[in-house]
Amino acid sequence: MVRSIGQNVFAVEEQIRAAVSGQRTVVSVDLADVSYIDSTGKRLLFDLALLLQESHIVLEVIVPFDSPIRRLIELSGLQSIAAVILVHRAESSRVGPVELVLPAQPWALKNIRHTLRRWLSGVGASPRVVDDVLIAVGEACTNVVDHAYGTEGGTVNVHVEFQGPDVVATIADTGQWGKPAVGNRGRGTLFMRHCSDDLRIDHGPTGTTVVIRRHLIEEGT
Amino acid sequence: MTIATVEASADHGAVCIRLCGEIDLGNVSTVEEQIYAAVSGRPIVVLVVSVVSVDLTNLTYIDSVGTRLLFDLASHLRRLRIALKLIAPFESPARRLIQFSGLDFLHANRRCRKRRHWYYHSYTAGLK
Repeated sequence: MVRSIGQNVFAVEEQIRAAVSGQRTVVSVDLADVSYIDSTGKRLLFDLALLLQESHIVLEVIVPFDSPIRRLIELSGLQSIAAVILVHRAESSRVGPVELVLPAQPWALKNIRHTLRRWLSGVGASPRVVDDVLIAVGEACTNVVDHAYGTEGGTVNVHVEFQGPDVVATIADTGQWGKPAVGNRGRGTLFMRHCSDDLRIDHGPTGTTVVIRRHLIEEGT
Repeated sequence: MTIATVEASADHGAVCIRLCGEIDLGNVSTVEEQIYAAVSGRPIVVLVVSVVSVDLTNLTYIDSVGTRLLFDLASHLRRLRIALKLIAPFESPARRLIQFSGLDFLHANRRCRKRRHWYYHSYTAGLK
């Protein structure tokens, strides 16, 4: 367990590299107990993300919402190459919201589903609700990957929380959608509607926000 | 990368393709290549193939990207006068998405009970 990353950066790097071996697709670095990180620690995370990227391994960085290093991670731009997941601390009895910031790349879709499955199983969602939320959020994220950004790329932000009896997922980007939804994407919107109880899509000048609401308990059951 | 496996076998004019895993934007082109290779990569067999069945039972994730692949495959096979049969259990995500898409050019083909507790419903595209 590491509490701060600064002077000890080489030792930390060595330990992380040693832990990362064999066939893996995701490496998760939990920063819940890290209260301080400086530029060397930041660089360590960047280098690690790039190193893993070469082997098609995704780096997940888990940071609590109330962490003192949250802002630094958010401002670092790490989310352009790694999956940054903001979570509530485990000790709270209520399942809190989870937020993911990932590069708007096709490979990120799988990581989004992975985190959502974990969160949804934690709240006791039925297989049907899990399927619905995964499809609806998946379609919204696919739209971001496909349409929101040009060649320079960008990030997709997924926030999931409870609002009363509903699971509410908000998918946001800061891009400008090139073309209106047609063909394949038209069907994507259709699927989003079928898989949610309420769907709002807001195309603004600074980006697009999609809000998906799904009852956790099926009506009539 | 998103992982899906494509298993293909041919038997008496029928090509059976079993899809397992997840299909999304990350791997759809790889899956597509493998399916088309299984369908057309048999120069002698292809002449006598009358039906291609795609088993979606073990697909744990599919969205509009994957269903588009299936619809494109249906039109491709239709041109070759080959029927496409999709096998998807009740309540499976694949089956629900196919239903949401509308069954305009998919004809409900038959309903059978193949295994205990599992109902399969298959659709044949194109040829009647």
